Amino acid sequence: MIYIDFDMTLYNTENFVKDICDIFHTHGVPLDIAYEAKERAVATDVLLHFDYTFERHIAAVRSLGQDVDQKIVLKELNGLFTNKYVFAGAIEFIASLKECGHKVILLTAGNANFQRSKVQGSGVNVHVHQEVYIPGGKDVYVRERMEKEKTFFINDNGRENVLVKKMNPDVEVITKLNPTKNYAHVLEELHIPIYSTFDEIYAYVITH
Amino acid sequence: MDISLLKKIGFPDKSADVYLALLQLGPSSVRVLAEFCDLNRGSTYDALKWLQDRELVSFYKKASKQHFVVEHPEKLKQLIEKEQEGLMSAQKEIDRSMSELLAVYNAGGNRPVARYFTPDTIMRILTDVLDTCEVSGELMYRVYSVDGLREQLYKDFPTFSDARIGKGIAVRAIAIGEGGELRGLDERKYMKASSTTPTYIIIYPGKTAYISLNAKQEAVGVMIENIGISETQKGIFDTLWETL
Repeated sequence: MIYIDFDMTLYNTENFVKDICDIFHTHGVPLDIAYEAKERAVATDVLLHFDYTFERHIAAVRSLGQDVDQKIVLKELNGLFTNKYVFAGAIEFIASLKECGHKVILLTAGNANFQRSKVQGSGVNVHVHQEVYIPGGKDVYVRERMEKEKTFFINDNGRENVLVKKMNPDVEVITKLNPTKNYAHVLEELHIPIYSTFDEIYAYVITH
Repeated sequence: MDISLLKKIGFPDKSADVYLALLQLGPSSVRVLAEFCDLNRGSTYDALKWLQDRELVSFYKKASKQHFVVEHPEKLKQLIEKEQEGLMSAQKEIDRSMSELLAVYNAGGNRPVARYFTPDTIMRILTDVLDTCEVSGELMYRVYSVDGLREQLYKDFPTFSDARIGKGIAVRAIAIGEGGELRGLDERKYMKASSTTPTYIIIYPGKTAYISLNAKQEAVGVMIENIGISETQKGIFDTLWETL
């Protein structure tokens, strides 16, 4: 069984966010405010739980003193639910994991409706065996569903990976390198490998 | 874990993050903690210092490097007890300084203070009328009452008249248009006037409140706290009252 994350693992969320902020910018919102509002829209009071939606982003932009027309901006933002952000090679990677006989489960944390729109817009959903949408707490989710078969967990978020490994020592946790985050030392201490390409991750899976 | 729980007992954001990270990771170096929490080292040290000052975290040296370790979570209870003691002490200090604070507060009486009320909070004007009259000892207020607004204003406080009478507070009303009724401890006079945007005005000790309808036909209001404005409105009202 392979749990595979969506954002920044299969999907270039960095570019997606850039395009979101560019849309706000075309409506007169300074870029730094658009990015700050995005951070506020993502955050919840619970650690590693996320709740980003376009509506929350617009509300956060407004709370920072910017006036935008929700209806017009929302229409443009909804146009971003496309497959152009899927990392090159991601679909082939999933297919190769399935060919090895693994059940591939897409496990993504965030606002379920929003994540579903993003995943379905990307087209990734039709290639995996199952999609799972949770607000956060991947470590607990994996623990509660642990079975005897070999389990892999592929994800870019080093912090989530450390928690998954600590809570589920038998799970093979693999970190997909996220160029915007550096978890090298903390992952090294727990012997969690980091790879930047799908080929490297595939090679690890078939040899473990 | 819900970070807001730690924030409730005074943890700054970064200290809460580092504390939870230490609980999750076990003994860790600053470098590892900074990476894990996505903070720079300076902020991580600041957060650790805050935690050390409250005896929630300690450190030991391993191969000349500092490793931080979280104390038993029971320490959080001790922190809450200390915070409670601190708050009790602060409350006593505030009690001692109250006359000084009130002197400063009252000195601000020269400039008007405006408060705005939404349809959800409009009822607070009515409770303020009763409270202010009661506290000031001036057990009468005045209103310009208008049809259409009256119903909106009192719909969330239907027992207002009973509460007013119970406190012995009288009201003198100039009704613009028709409607309204006497409920006790009240006098009412009528004035003919027409307006497409009527406003219900309450004049009470040191304050005036203006209530009108928004575009959705809901009551919204502004209350101005200023003795000068209140007294001027009172004078105009009383002069008009005599002519009706």
